[in-house]
Amino acid sequence: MPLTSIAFVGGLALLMPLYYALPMKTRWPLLLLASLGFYAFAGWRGLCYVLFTVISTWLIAWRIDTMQARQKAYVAEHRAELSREERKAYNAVQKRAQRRWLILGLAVNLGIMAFMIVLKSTSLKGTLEDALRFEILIPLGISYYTFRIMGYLIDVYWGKVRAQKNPAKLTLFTIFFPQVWMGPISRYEYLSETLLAPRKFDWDSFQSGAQRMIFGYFKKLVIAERLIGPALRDLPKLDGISALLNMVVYAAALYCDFTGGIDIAIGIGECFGIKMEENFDSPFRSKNIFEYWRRWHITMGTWFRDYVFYPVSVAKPLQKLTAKIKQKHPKLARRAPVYIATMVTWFVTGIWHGAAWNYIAWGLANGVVILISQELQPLYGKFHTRFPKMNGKAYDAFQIARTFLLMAFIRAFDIYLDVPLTFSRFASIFIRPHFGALSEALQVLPWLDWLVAGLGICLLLIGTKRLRRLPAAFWLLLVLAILVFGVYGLGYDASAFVYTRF
Amino acid sequence: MDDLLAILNDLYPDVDFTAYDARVDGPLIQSMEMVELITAIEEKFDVEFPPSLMGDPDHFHSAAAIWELIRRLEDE
Amino acid sequence: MLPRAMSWRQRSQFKPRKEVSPLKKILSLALCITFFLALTAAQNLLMPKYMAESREGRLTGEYYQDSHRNDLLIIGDCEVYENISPITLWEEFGIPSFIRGNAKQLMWHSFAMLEDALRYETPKVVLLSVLAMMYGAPTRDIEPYNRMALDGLRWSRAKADAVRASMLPEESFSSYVLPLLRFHGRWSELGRTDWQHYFAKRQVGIAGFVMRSDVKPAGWIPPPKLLPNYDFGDMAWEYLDKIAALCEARGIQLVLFKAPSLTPHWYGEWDAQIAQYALEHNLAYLNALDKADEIGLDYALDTYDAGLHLNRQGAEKMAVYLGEFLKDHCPELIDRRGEEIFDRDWAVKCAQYHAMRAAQEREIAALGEVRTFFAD
Repeated sequence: MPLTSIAFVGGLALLMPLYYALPMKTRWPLLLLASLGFYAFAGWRGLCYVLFTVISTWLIAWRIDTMQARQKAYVAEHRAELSREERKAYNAVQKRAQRRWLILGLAVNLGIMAFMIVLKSTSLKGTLEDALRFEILIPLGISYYTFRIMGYLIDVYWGKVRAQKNPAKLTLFTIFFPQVWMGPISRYEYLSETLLAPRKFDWDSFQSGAQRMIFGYFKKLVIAERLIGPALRDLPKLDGISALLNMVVYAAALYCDFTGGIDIAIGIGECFGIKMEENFDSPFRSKNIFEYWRRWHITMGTWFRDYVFYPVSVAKPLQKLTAKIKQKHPKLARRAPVYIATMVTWFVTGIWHGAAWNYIAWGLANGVVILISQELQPLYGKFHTRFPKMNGKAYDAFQIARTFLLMAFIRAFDIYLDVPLTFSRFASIFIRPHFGALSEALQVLPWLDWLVAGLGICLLLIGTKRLRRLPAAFWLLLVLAILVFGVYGLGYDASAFVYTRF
Repeated sequence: MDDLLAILNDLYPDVDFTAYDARVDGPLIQSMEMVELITAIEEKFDVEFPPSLMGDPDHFHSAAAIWELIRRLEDE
Repeated sequence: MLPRAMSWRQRSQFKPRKEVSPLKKILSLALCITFFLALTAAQNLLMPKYMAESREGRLTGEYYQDSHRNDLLIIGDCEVYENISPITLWEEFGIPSFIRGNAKQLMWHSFAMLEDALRYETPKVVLLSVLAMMYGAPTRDIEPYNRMALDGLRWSRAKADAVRASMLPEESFSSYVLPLLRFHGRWSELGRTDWQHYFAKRQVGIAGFVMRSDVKPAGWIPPPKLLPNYDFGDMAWEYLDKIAALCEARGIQLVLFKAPSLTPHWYGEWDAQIAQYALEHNLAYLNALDKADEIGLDYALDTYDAGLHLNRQGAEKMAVYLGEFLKDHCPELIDRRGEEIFDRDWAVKCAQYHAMRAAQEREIAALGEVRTFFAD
């Protein structure tokens, strides 16, 4: 039951009035019940894995939390008697014990997730039947909820948050239903504040949430669903300039699908008075790849930054390594931690998306481009001091277009799911563009559908800020547009009506 | 404090860190520079930076804030 | 209103409770109503009109325009709505009847048609076509037929049950509540018919009968395939039982009927099962296929599609034979001719029938085929 199914929308329509009709105390349990319900709908087996993950993490986090409390109490009590060295030594011993628990917890979480990702990736190569069988086995949104709960565990270990005593509340945080499908990957510190302490009904928040949901459904059903078929099924067969078209169409489809899903999730949250982190900040307006990754899938980016990139970059073995090369290459030593941490982070990010070469290649391509861009920074600086006139709007536009195309190329690994094929298609754009074939390529979609998708994208370009000022009539019109022009349900296949009559 | 300012100016030669505050002037330090900054500080002041603090903008919005954090870490 | 003396600072601290003005309330209400009107308008436009093609899609809805004074209700698929002429039944025997039939109407559809009709009238006899017993479960291609049979039904528990029984796994109940969810994709295929017949739909059936006066002789009929299993499916039996039970509960005599169509082949094994069922439940069963000679059917003249369906001429012959059969087996059916209320009703239907017959014959003479009937 995806976010866009009629059953989901119907369930939501029932849940909202019920939520506000119930007394405050029973509101989060209702959300938990709803989340479990939505989850069970997708397969009760998946629910077993989730509950195992949550309960084990809950126990481990609690264990770490009590150890920390004891440690703090001991240090406070004996502050006068202990020297700084003694205190440090005591803390180090305690920290090591806590780390063992942390590693156990991460191993459990990562173990299940790795197993599932491998299962999924291998099943894709098998028959469709296998894939379907595994699809039922694999818990819904496993990579998202595993990340949410691992973040929580690490935060407890770091002493950033106290452990949650109530396993039911932790379960709700882990599988809060709007976030199950596409995120955002919320932090416990941020989400729990409004999730577990519900507010009174607030009309403004509700209105803004409803608008956001409508907009999300518009992006997903009217644009993304319309373009994703041609982008992943029809266009990949073509090379030359059509491959470029494919990359651009895929960028639009992916953007609308992903940001639409996030809009729906955040919108639902707002309707319930629950705040979630933003996941996008106009990523296609980025002028370089750093900026792009700060604006696209923000919660994933910051997750990897805080829990992988930073810890790896200041890890002991890495520091020892840099100390070693310091005498010979001082400049390299300064860069080494960043380089290694970047590549490790992007390697892990790639694997997170799927245990297949195309995902790893996609991750590493991001890392390489980021590092090259980083090294080219001084060069850009020189360029700008020599040509100070190159800093106008036109140059901004050039940078935005360049970043968009660069990211579209990197994403091509996703389209072709095959590393050599991706490179050959990419090369064909320049070697044999076949401009004449473009009109043929455009026939993958009826022109009326191109028109609808195009008009939809124009609406996106106006921007939500301006649209939000429009009256309710506009939003109802948008609902009508989604119902009519959305791509969902059984298509009306005229040929199905031409039947042998009896 | 001067040592810290030297490190910061090494990373961002154009910024006057005695006056800079990210809460007012907008975010500045990105993740890569953050790593270089931390590595340099750890070396200079003989402190150990827990990675948990690196993602927390509250400690890094100004030179004064970073300086306070270093003092606290030295004390531990 | 705020007092004039209040400074800006004071005002900003002063938080009045939001009052919604009556005008705004009325406007919001008007907006909601407009929205639902627009939704309905869009839905009506996007739903197939079943005029130029698949005209049978209109039959379910046309029942509600009838006077609902029928002694005989005929239920089934095209083996009834093209093979039996109710006008002949009236003119020759004075039996007022209506056919509730749809293309590929399966047993659960038939049960819904019966349940629905019983909300409006209680006939004395129900004649049920048994050909659909061959389908023991919804077939893969059934979805458009589900829509044609069920979208025209008025809402009742019967419709809800029928939808649930008929749906394929990929269909959703909500799309029957709001057919826009099913047909919205037609926005890019809207044609002249959709605008032309937005309000005015042409009547397709006369007392549920769809007339074809043209002739296409039956030629070579392919030999029947051997089937792995001749037993009817569970769901077919279940709904046959339901129909029988409902008729019994309402004091209606049930008659089973197999039309004299040459294809699809009606196997002896199937016939035996129905005969056995009729015997066990004390029902009359007419297998008209065996009686083709007695009926006087000439498959070179009385079929419009080479033996699949009868044409009007055949349907009239069939009705004559059926009338005699019913006279023998259904003592409750009486001749209604001469009763003013029936005479008035049927005078209209007969006039329509004969006008349509004349029009079709003119077309066949001039063009060699029935054409206008399929134009939009």
